[in-house]
Amino acid sequence: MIHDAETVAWKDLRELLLRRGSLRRGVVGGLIPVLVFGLGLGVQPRGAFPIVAFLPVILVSGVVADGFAGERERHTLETLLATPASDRALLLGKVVAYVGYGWSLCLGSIAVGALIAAAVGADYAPELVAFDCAFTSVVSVLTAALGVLVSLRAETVRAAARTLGLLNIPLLLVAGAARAATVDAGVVGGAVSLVVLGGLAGVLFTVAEGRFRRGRLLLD
Amino acid sequence: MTAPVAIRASALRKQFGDLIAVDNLTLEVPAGTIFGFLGPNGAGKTTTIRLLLGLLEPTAGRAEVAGIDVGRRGTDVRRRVGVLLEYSGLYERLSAYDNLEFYGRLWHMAASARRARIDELLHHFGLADRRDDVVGSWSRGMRQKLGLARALLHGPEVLFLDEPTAGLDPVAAVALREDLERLTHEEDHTVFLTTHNLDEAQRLCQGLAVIDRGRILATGDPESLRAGQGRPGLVVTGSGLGDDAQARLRARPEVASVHGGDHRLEIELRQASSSAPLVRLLVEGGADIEEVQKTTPTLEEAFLHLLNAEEQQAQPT
Repeated sequence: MIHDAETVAWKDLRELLLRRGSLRRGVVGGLIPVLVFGLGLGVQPRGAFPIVAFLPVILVSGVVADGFAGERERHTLETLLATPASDRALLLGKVVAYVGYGWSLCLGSIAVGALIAAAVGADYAPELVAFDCAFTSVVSVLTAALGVLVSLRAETVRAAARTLGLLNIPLLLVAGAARAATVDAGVVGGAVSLVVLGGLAGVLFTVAEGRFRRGRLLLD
Repeated sequence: MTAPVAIRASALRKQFGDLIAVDNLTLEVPAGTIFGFLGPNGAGKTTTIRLLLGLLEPTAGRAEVAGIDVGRRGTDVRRRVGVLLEYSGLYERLSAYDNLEFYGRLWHMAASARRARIDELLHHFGLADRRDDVVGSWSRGMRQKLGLARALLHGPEVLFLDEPTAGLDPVAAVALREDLERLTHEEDHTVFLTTHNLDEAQRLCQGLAVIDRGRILATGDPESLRAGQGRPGLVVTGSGLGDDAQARLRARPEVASVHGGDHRLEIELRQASSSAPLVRLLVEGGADIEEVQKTTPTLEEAFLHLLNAEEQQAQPT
């Protein structure tokens, strides 16, 4: 199962990086949000709505709509479903690919933000940087699980993106509230928020797995 | 000893609400043969393939592919089959090599064997020079070839091909057909092929089934299917074949109809029978016969005959 999930993730990551026509363009296209969000993180005043909370939501949901809806739209879904890969492997592979992509950009942004904060003497403590790395990973998984769930039944990528756009609002609020509460509540509060968000991601993944029916995916 | 069976369906049925897409479908495909599944659009061909791949659950009945129960062990069936479905299913942003690499990995081929097989197939299909090209820039013919390479990659026992030459220009279609024929002989695959192209079916297939409205109308080899549908006939050329000769022929019980003129007659027979009495009748009537040719219905005529009969049967009385 892990091997198949890895294979699906490998393919989806390659497709993501090549979606602008070449690997170089894909990398350059990824660097732009890293620099923009990194700059924002580095100079963000304390007490403002934390940029880091919506970083993974924006970055992951921007690509995850493509998951199954993209396969359906480009007529690759049926051939993929005709392979021996298990339902869980296909789902997990997609989630890993989008988390890998979105979280890498988050980590890049955080690194750039930490460097800028150090350069301008802003308040971005190393322990908060470490927490943000863990926090963005969990929110990336949550967003990817939600995105894959929506993308499973969406007819087109655009329809999936539209639904995700609506669902992003409560997701942003939850992530923002969790990040803000964590800063005030310290290490224990941080750990609790990560566990809660991770649990929510697990629930969404389980729901997606429950809704994964090869026949329904084709007929939809 | 009977030949092993690669695909067996027994009373297979699939219903979507009120629509019966596949109805009581029973067939057997011997291993190592190319089996053509013919039918008009919406006849149930694609649904049948999806049922045989375990992608859809049947409403009733059962099927086995490569000796494995599809309903119970769909994943095992998919491990032993290759597919080229209605769309080639290739990832257009990826290169030809990466497309094959992806599927080779999903079929758990060892890295060295995978690389060797990909190279072999790309060379075989004349695509080796374009292996690093993004597939999105390719013609439909090239994509179909790559799709066929992907279907053959892991050496499947059974290949499911859903109209593989549809939309190809004649040259590309002939090339793909030749590749298919050669590879299935060399590598001993069983092929389940749906097609609209009756000429293709006749050239490639050892067995055929005609399906319409989800029901099998006829099965058999192309020859028996042709002979079993429509009427045999004679084409007579010569002179003195005018109204008088035609009237004599029409009086014969074995003759269904006669068309033509002084120099050429097309005689439709009620059943296959010796042409000698009819020729003798014409000669005794003063005709000068140059040539007598027996005709049997083409596969296309047999196919249309079956569909028309089904249409008439389906119409309310």
